[in-house]
Amino acid sequence: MNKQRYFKEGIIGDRNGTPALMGRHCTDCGKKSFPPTELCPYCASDKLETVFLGDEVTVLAATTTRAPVPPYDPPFTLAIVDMEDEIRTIGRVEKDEDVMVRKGDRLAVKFGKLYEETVFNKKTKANETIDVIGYYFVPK
Amino acid sequence: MRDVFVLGIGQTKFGVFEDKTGVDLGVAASVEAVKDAGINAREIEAAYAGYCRGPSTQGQMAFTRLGIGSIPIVNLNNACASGNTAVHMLYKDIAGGFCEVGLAAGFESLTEAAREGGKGLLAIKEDFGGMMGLTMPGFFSFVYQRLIDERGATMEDLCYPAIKNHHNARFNPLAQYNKPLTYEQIMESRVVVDPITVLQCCPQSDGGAALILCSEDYFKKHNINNHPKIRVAASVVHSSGWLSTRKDPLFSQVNREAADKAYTMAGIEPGDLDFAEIHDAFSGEEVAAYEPMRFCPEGECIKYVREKFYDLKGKLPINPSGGLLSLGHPLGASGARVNCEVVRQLRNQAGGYQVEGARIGLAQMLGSVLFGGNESAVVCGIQILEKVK
Repeated sequence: MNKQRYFKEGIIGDRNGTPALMGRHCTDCGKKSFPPTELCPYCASDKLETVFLGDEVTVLAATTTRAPVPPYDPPFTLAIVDMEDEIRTIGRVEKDEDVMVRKGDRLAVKFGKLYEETVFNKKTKANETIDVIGYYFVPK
Repeated sequence: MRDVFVLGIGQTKFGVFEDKTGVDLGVAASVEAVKDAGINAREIEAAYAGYCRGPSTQGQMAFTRLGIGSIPIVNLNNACASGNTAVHMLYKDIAGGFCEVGLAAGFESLTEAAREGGKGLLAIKEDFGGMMGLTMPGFFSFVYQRLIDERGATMEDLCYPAIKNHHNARFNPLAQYNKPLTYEQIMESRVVVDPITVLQCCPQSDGGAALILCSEDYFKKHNINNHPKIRVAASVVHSSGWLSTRKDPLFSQVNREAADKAYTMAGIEPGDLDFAEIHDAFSGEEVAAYEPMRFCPEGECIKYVREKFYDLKGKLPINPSGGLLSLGHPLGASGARVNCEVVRQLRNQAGGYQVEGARIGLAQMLGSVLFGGNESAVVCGIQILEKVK
């Protein structure tokens, strides 16, 4: 099995044995935010706690890229989505090409390999393949 | 604070120049600006260089070739607004009384950058969206989608700026492309991100532009070329925060906030503008800018598009020069270039793309507009220039 790394640290956590997206909750202003930041992006308070976010989102807009964007091969679909508590973010939509994704569609949050990367291991003096793990959405 | 005036402008032709570096183009534009100002370059007391790609201290590399030296020279990278930022920093120096005359230049060779870094769609590595494959046309495809959903835009509406700006560029000898485009040609070109085709995107180009700004006293004493007196009525560099990047891509909050600051600073209403040169990296992006920039009432951008309100002969010409879509977009150069375009109009030197009776013009660039929270901070640079007596 390949080694694994998250596409970005501090985004995905473990909720009772299953992965979940992590956001912040500010105990000063009460707002939730994602991705996590060092101080509250709304009020700059440092009274932040980490919270797990839900596993469903609603599409605001979705489009398909038809040109290569390394490390991703076309076509691939990205969506701006709304999560709970006024959190709006972006993510990839894994789907069959003939499935259309439109405003208002509900998608499920999933976790897994986004792409593979090859890095040189200084200890073994050999290239090794790493699975880059992230989140994506699938039609419900 | 004291008034700041434009004494000279210089601009290269925009296009693909295999044998020139970004610095070469910066030098060419700056030499022309100094000559247009009618001063000796050694008079310059401060200089700013805006560019995005390549080595450090390109400003020093360029300006020493003009005999400029032993003065503060500052290099700036503020994405597409780098040129506006160079103008803004010099504006502050002169308005604040720190110097009498200075040079603000923007330049870039994306041909040179492509040789080193590859060409094509690149996601920005540190950007949260970029990590998932979001690119500039990818972001603006969301803007298109929102205009279709919320404003009833058709593809004909969203291609209006591309058709209009290419029409305008027929008269601009400095534009990369001087041929008109039809809707059919645009839609038949290759799709990049649904529904954006290649001909709705600006080309990646090379070019340089520069301005000499000065105090009123200096202008009076040194204006040997008898240029009309053009005042920098407003200069704003404004960045997004979390709230503005989290909002709907339909409505650019940073454009709205920057524009409002600029109108207030200039003491004008948006309706006082005679024309504007703005960021049109993608055809539909220009349509999306009309409402936040207050070029039309909220919710009515498509109505105004269908009335051809922004044509060269329309009520408020937008991008009479041909815009990024026809000029090309050498990132660091474009913000200085739009300021040069406004000056050219106010001096009545724009030839076939002259806006009749132009007295007040706005120059805007929007930089780095990916979606992904605070890591994709957006910057907007705006200058408003006014011809005065």
